[in-house]
This record gives sequence, structure tokens and C-alpha cells, in this order.
Amino acid sequence: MSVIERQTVAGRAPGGQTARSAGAARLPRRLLRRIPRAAWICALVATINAVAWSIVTPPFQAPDEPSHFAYVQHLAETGHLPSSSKEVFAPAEAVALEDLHQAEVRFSQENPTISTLAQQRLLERGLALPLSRSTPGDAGLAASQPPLYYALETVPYELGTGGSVLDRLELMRLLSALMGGACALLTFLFLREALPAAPWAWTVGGLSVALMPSLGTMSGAVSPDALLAPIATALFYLLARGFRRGLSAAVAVALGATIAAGCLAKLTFLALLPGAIFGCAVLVWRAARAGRLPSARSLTLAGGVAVLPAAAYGLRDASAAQPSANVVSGAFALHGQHTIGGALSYMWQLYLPRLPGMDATFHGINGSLLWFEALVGQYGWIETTFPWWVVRIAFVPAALLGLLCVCALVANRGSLWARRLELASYGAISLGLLVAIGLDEYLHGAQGEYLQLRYLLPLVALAGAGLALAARGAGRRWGPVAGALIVTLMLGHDLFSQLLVISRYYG
Amino acid sequence: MRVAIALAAGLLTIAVGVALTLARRPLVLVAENLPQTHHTLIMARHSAGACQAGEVLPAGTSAVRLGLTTDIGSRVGVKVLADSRVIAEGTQRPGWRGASVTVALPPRPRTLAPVTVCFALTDLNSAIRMLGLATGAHVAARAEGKALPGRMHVEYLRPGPRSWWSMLSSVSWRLGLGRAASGTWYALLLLTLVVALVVLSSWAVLRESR
Repeated sequence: MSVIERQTVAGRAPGGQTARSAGAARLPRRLLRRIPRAAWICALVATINAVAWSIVTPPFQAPDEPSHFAYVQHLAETGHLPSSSKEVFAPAEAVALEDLHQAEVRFSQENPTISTLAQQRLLERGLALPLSRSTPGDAGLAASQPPLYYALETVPYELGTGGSVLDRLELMRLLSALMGGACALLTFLFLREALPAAPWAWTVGGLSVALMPSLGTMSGAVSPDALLAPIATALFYLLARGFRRGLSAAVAVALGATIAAGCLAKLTFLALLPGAIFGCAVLVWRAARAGRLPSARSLTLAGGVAVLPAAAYGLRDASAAQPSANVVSGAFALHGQHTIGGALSYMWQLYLPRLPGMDATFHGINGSLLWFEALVGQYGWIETTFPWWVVRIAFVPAALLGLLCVCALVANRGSLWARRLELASYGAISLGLLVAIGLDEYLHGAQGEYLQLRYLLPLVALAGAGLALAARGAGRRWGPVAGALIVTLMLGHDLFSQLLVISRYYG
Repeated sequence: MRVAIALAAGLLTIAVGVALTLARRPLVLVAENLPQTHHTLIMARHSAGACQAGEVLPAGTSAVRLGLTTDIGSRVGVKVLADSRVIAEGTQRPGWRGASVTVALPPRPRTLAPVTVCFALTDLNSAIRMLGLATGAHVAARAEGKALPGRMHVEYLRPGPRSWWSMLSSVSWRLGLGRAASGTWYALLLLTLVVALVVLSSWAVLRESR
């Protein structure tokens, strides 16, 4: 009897069900074993980096961290989502914020964190008080966000039972750090699919992302941005895999699950949806044309997995006091003074230098330069930045990297045309995010309030691809050398950013 | 071999950069004209400026920090005048963020008093709040000949006596405050993590380039 026949018989035997379950149980292990060791190293580096950032960043000094913590606390303590977007937090958290002088330190570079033993003792006494952790149920800005990230964070929150608010916060930050690790791992896998010709460049891109201070700082804090980044990176990876190997049933279902997870992680993901849907549609069209379309059952399953969880949350959300749907529609509501031309001009200037004839959005500076400054360093509540001379020096490596990237694209121009639909999908996802940020800014007259690098973290996989391409742009002989220099550049950027934050809070 | 040399050169550059950075003396507060406040004196939406008399410019002051807060800062020009003569001036480019702005000034060898500190806001990107303390009109800052509701908060900064190297132990100690389990072990843990980052990243680059 052949192996296949023996397996068939086993499948039909009374014990077949057990064999199938055992096989299913082994499947994740088999999949994990297929991931190269270098990808795990990238994940480990990103996790360690995020843990380092969680130490460097004082408690509640990451953007909106008090609100995100309040959301998790309320969900864990009551089993219900927060009921109000006011910023009256539960007494246990409010006392910690007060004793940490959180409001005075936030935004004010001249104010470091607490610095005396007396302040520490006062904090410890405040943390030990038996104060309410469940009322009044406010979660500030976080209240309108979907619950996936916060639900996951209830696990470390519960693990900290018996501990103080700060114990729980540290455990929650560690879970975010693991999400940072997942992001770097998925970036590596994305590069393996998107740039298959040079395996060493996967490590360059993966490590560069792992060492990015912007990823480290958000993965070292309690923020749904920590979850959104790996989910968006998974989306890029699955699309790249589908474009390279064809749309399998497994990839279709995984894409559906990723889209569902994204919708339930942060409202920002909705901006990525048009591009994601475009990419999925192209994959289905190409598979149908090649006669290799997954079964209708698989596609229905994938569609169901993508839509049903978000729809269920949407239905529940419609009856909430602070519906996310209202936040989204309110964010894009047009008022009298807004025009389509005005919106286009604003969005253009948010990312690119102003063209003649446009009314100035920014004065004395342009949006692209502000983004570059944010890329060089923007920490704490975005008030902590490098001095201007550092930004000027940073132009040199940035220009070199851009040049190398262009060289790589020119050298591979033939394959670019062949992959135009894949690139258009990535472009549509990126454009969706950039337009959403720009439109939100324009409609709210925010004047740069959303000009924060963390909002671009969903595109971190493309940044990794850009850096891997730059290394390849140095050519076959010097590529690995350029790769080593790029990794040390990212390492240096990360370490000096940590020193900057240390000097700001503890100097 | 080439990769190992590039990696070593990169790491050496970082090490030298860190050593030089830690050898610098951070700016410290020499004097401030008022207790720090978050009280809004005025809100500027267009180009604005004000002058404040009766200030003291301590010797060696190399920067002033003004109580101005905004989303994306404007250009800020500062002039220090003694007897109507400009004795120091500096400019901060637009794009700063937060609840204060620091403007570098050329240091003066001697303390000068009384001086008038003037500032001008141009290229405004969003409304700017001026923070300070409400006072009587006779001591208040003045704009276009009129008294403002009070005096603006101004801090005078100069490089401190100690380098970051000599402050390592105090910074390590402070890093451990405000935590779940306070102690300098946070600094040791951070150092261990950073060493692990360097070792792992270097090893991965060398391994994959083979």
C-alpha cells in the first residue's frame, strides 16, 4: 500500500478525525518552522528595541497613552466599552497621573519627570490607595476606537492583578512590544515575496524596520498604533504573496482575516481599505484568468471573515453613546468654507512643495520638510525633536538612500512594468492613508496637528522595502556593504533618539 | 570581509558620536523672570510681537526659552536691548512644537540689567498662545505701545557646569523614578537591551551577508 493510500484509509478510519485534528494542530507549528531564522532575529531585535523604548519613555508620556490605558482599564474592569470621550479618568489612574505630574511634563520640554525621593514616595502612596478603577468610564480620544487592541491588552492588564496602575501599564507595554516584533517579522516576509532576488536584502530591510525609533516608541507604549502597524504589514505581505504565487484559498482567507482585524484595531485602517480591496480584486481577476481561482466556498469564507466581524461591531457600535461611525462621518463632513480645490491644495502642500497659484497652507516652511523633521525625530507628545543642525545633517544620508533606491529601480525597470498592478495596489493603499490624513487635517483646520510620523506606521513595510532597495542599488558587489551601513545608520538613529528622550525627561 | 569592515566602521562612528554627545554640557536654567505658568496672556493669530522691560540677562546666557505654545510654531525673533541698543539677538525657524520655544543667543560675558526682551512672531502656521502671569499695566509686556494683560514667562539658559558623562549616575537614578518598581536597575536593564540590540543586529548582518 502506497503512502497516499495509507493516508486515505487513515482518513476514513474511525480514528481519522483525530488524525485530522492532530494535523491541524501541527499546521501552525509547520508554518512557523518555515519562517527563516533571520526573520525571527528581526522580530527579536524589534521586540528588544520596543522594550528599551518602553523604559526610556516615562509612564503616560506617549501620545494619548492615558486615554488608551483608561479604555483597557474600563473594558477589563467592567466588560463594557467606554461610554464617554471626556477625559475624566478613573481615580486610580487620575492619582497616578497627578503624582507623576503628567500634565506639567507633557508638551513642556522644560519640565522633566519626577526627580526626588519625596515625589516617588508620594506616588507610591497614591498607587497603594484602594481607588476605583471602573468609573466614570471615560476614555478620552480613544473612546471612539474599535476594541480589538484594547481587548488584547486586557490580558496583560489582568496578569497585573494585585499590582498598581504602573505595574499594569508596564505589562501592557510589553504586549505592544511583541506586536512591534511581529511587525518586523512580517516586513521580512513581505520583502521575501516582493524582492525575491537578493535574500541578504530581506535582513537589511527587516532589521532597519526593527530599529526604527518611530516603530520602537509606539511599540513601547500603550497605543493601538502598535497593533495597526503589524496588521497593515500583514496586508502588504499577503498581497505580495498573492501577486507572486497566485491567490490560494489560504491567502484569500488570511487576507479576509487581516482586513477584519484591521477594521477592529483602529479606525485609520479604513483609509487602507480601498487599496486593499483593489489589490484583492486584481488577485481574484488574475486567478480567474489563469483558471486557478480558489473554490467559491473559499472565497465566500474569505469575504465572510473580512466583513462579518466588522459588521457585527458596526451594529453594536450604532447603539453606542459615542459611535465610531459618527466619528468617521464627522471627520469627513464638509462645511461651508471647504472646497474640493481647497482640499486638494491643502493635501498637496501637506506632502509636497507648494506650486505657483496655490494659497499657502504653511508659512516659512513646507509640509514635506515638516514630515522630514518628524522622520528624523519626533518623540514624547511630539514636542521632543532634534535641533535643526541634526535635521540638516540627516539630509545627506537621506539623499544618498534616495539615490541608491532610484538606481535599484532603474536597474530593475523591466520588472516594474510587469508588476504594475501589484505596485498600483501598494500605491492605492498608501494614497488612501495620505488622503485620509490630509483631508482630516483640512476639514478640522488642524494645521499640522496630524503631521505625526506614527500615523504613517501602517506603511512601515514599504519603508523597509525602500531601504532594502537602496542596499540593492549599490550593486551586486557593494550591496551587502551598503546594507551593513544602512543597518548601522538605523542603529545610530535609534540610539541617538533614545539619548535625546533620556536627556529630555531625566536630564 | 568588506561587510565586517563596513559594520565595524559604522559601529565605531556611533561609539565616537555617543562619546562626543555625552561630553557636551547640557543647557541649564540660570534664571527665570516668573514662576512657570500655563496662564494664557494673549492668543496671536497673525504676526505679533511684544517687548518686556525690567529683565535681567545673566552672564553667559546662550538661549532664552519663551512661554509660547502652538501646534506648529512660527518664526520667532528675539532681541535683547539695553538702553535701546540691541545687545543680543537670535531667531528660531518655523516648525517647532510644544509649550515653549528656545531661541539661541550669543552669550555675553557679564550680567546685564535692566534689559528689555522683545520678540516677534512671523510666518504663523497656527494660533500661538503667550503664557505668563497677569500683572498691573505698569510692569506688563507691551505690544504696539499698549500694555498686555501681564508679563510673559522667560527662562535664561546656558551650558551647565557638568557634562552628560558626569551626570550619568544621577540620570540613571532618575530613570528609575516614577516606575512600578523604582530603582537604578532600570538603567542597567536599558544598557543590557541596547548591547543586545547592537550584538544581534551585527551578528544578523554578518550571517546573512555570507
